Amino acid sequence: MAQFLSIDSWTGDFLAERDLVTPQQLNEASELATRWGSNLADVMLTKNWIAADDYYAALAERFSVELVDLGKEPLDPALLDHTEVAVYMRELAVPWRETDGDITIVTARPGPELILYARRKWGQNVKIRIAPKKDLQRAVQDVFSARYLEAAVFDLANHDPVMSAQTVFTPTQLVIAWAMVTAAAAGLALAPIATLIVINLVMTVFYLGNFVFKSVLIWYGGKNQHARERQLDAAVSLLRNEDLPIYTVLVPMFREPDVLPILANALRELDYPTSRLDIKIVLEEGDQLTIDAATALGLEDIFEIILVPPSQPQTKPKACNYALQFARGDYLVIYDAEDKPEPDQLKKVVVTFDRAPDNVACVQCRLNYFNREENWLTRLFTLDYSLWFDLMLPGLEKLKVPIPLGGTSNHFKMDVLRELRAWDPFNVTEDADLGIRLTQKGYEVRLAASTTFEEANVSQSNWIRQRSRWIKGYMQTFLVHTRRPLHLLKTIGPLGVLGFIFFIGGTMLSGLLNPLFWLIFGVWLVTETGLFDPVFPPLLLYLSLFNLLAGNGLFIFVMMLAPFRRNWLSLVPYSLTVIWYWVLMSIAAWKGAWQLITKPFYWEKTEHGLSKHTADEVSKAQAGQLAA
Amino acid sequence: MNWRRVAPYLFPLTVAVMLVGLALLLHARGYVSTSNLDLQGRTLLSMDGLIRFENVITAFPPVPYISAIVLSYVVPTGGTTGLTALSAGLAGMLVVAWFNAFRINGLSVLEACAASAALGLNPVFLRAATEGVGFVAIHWGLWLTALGTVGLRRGERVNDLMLVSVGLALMAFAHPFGLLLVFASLPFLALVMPPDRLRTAPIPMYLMLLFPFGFSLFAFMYVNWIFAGDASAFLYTISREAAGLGADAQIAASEPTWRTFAITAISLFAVSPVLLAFFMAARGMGPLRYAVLAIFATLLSGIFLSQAFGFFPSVSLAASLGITGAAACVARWPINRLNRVELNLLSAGLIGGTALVFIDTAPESERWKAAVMNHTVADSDPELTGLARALSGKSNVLFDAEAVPAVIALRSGTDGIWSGDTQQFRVASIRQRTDADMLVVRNSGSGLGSDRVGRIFPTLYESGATGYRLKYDGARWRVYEVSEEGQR
Repeated sequence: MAQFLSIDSWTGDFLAERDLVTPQQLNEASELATRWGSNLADVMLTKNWIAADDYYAALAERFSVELVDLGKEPLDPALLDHTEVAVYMRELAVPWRETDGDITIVTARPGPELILYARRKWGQNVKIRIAPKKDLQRAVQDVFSARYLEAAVFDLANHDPVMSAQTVFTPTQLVIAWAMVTAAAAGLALAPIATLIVINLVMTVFYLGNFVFKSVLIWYGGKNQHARERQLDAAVSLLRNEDLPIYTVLVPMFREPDVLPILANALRELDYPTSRLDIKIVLEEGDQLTIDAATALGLEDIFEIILVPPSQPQTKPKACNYALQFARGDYLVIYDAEDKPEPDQLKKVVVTFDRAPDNVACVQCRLNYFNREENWLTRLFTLDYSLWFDLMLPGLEKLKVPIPLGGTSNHFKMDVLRELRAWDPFNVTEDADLGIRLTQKGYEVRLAASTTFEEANVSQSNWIRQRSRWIKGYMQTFLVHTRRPLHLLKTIGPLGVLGFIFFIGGTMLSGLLNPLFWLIFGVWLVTETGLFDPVFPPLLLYLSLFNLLAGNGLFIFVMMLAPFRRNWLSLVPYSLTVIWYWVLMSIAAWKGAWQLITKPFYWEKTEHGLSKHTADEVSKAQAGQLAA
Repeated sequence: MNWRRVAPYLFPLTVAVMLVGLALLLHARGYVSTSNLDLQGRTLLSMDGLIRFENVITAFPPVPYISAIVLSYVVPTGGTTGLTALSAGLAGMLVVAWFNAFRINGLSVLEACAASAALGLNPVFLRAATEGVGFVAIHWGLWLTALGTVGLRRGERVNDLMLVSVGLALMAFAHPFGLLLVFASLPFLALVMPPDRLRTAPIPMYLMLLFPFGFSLFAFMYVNWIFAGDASAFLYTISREAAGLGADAQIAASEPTWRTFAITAISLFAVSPVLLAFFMAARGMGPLRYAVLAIFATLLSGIFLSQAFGFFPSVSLAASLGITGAAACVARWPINRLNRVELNLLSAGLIGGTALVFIDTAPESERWKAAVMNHTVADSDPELTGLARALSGKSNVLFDAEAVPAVIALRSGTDGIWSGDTQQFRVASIRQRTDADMLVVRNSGSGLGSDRVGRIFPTLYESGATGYRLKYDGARWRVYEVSEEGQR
């Protein structure tokens, strides 16, 4: 953990003497460093009061040691140990050369403490060189990239293959599917009406269960929410900065140069001591546009940039797995590029972890949208997300049903994340999968009342792409976790299984089945045909009618309730138009199902930055950056 | 089983069992409410296929009807005893729900037991419990609505919003009186909404609160349109019989009787003086005061509307709803502001309730009192009893039983009845003649006009038919039996 080092005051004076910082900046930096428990250099670099190149050159001069260009004189891989990477990143000191048994190290943080540390670790004759922090971090990444890339892709599949989506359908699942299709075909051939009634009955009961379950969730989700939020706020106000743990923030990005200023601004606004943040912007090596944009914004001086070497599958979880190996925090959170977490989110999560039992390994924060009023789709999407994160997930938490984690703002205990081999790179909703896996392994997920605001999709085609990936991921997750039904039952209990079936299975299956029922209903309504009468005996007809009316009514109603908590009541009337949203959902579900068979690991990229609000946010962020 | 958690519930469960026991005792002494008779008759007709499926699912109010049909699937021989047990059981469950809510609010086990007993054993509540599933469902709906009402403005929880809106929907589809209560509540819903949200978004707030009711109504009208060919068909099934108000009264709107209204309003205070106490105690606590006001105002307006539309149940039944309103206040009142005075006033309501049932002179209440005092219980409608007796054991009876289902319940079955949806009835309708052994017809001059038999044979009531002799003669109904001449 970074601390206020004795060398800091020397360095500070030295920089001031050379007019690289002003005395006022030095004083302020000292105060901040004391308050944050940080070191002076980090504060000055974070505040952009000194350029990184100037700082390291001054440092080399100050200590009369050589400044190494690691690009030209890279690290010697033979001297590095892969199990020590987190230590290298934490101490910013890495063995560089070995001459006659004496080690020379490069460091970005020289000083007496470093010398003591280096002597303890590498012997009394250790020699010291200086390298800029970003060069040092990049050099360590280069050494381990091949090895870590392999681990990022195959670690879970190798160690826990039954939990990996690398195999889409297991032989047993294929046999069961074949048996069911055969039984249905035989039934249709031998007793078509009876078979259709049975199929219809199963689907009807499923629908009924689905909306009853979701109603129960919403009911439980709404109970005691305010009291918990007040308690959390009170506990956050009692936190002391110096007691806060190191927090790794991963921000995986791909082809999103435009939203970088939003991200940089949002991360800067986090109410958490900078020195205790380990922020990693995770970029794909081939994504030159985003890399250039990050460089142009000077992000490398503040955040660590991890470049993920190209390989398949090119998915976000693989990138996160790769970056995870360089992480040095006690906790870790993932944010998307366009995310704007509420400033006190990390503190709220720390409190939530502190107050939770030891087996709570993940805290999920709420997601919602900053451009909710932009068009019809953003309004509906906001209603959808409000329902999901503000009402349903709290219900799952209360009933102790496995929580499928949302795409971002899920905070993990680092040791548990590593123990579980992190995210499944073959699953395109790796977060949802991880939530279920955590519960299966005996851990719990909690929710924290803090919101991260994102950009809602403004385009229906883009939305369908995004949703098709989610639904495909849900299908993958469903297939993975139902491979061992008894194990699932044993680990998450009957209520958990029920919740898993309705929440994961129900979400994808209703999207697939709805068009079928709409078609039957539409044909019946328009033609008044008696064709379906044999398939709908009176009781079933009544049940189906009940489902059609009560089910649709209930889902519209809960959509309506969703914005109540946030007082976004202008969205309420739009819930009456949700039927078209369901149509889009069904299109996405069928697209997802098709892709599950044809391109199971394909990451359907959601394009960000389309919203005009995002442009406004970028302008605001740039203004904020200038002010900083 | 965790006995420490379960043990406190033994007392309210005992109260619930007592309610069921008392209801069954009254049933054994001959008290069956008119609404239960009507419901049982309809259930028998639909279970035996004498009412078309379409008519079953388009009938209003659907809540008691569907409950009765489900019950008859589960307990086919339940009859009116089963219906009485069901309604009293639901009332008993409400007492348990009150107890549970009191405990959650922080009342001690003793206080919660005393409060739930004082409310649950109030004679007017027992009267409501024996009235029928529909009326008990109003109590349930009001309980949910009132709970949400007391909580919504104070806590701004989505759960309270759900309670209000779902409660309203339940009341509306439980009983015609419930439907009127929902309409009565409309202006007063504004009192319970969080003021800032009401100011900025009144339409969305009303939309949320009324959506379940509105959508259910739309769905019900849609079902009517699909199955009955007319979205408003259910309106014709709303009857005073189904509301338990007797068959002899007129459906036409009558002038509200100010005297009855005033008596009922006073009775509401007598049965639940605690409501007034809560209103007074809520000085300085705006949300609570408005909530109590909204509950009271809804009940009074509902009573007024029910008189205006001719669906006023009886003073004691209407006043019984005050008990549920009071229970909701106790369940949601800030525990540190809940004084012993208020709890004692719950017991005072017992006295008021006892007095009220003795003052109430409505025919149904008189029958109920007779059963309580183990006197002879008069028939709910002597003419229908006579009609049932005339039809008892007979077969080949052309009878529009749907027009007066209570007769089917009174004769304990549909055997031998050719009702409106049977083949024989349709043939008679087409051919304008029948070979039935008995013809049952309603007086076209009665309040409800002709029945379907009367429409086939317009002169039957007055003039009889060739080959038939008058078997039963009532002011509203006549029965003609085939004569020896006719048999030849």
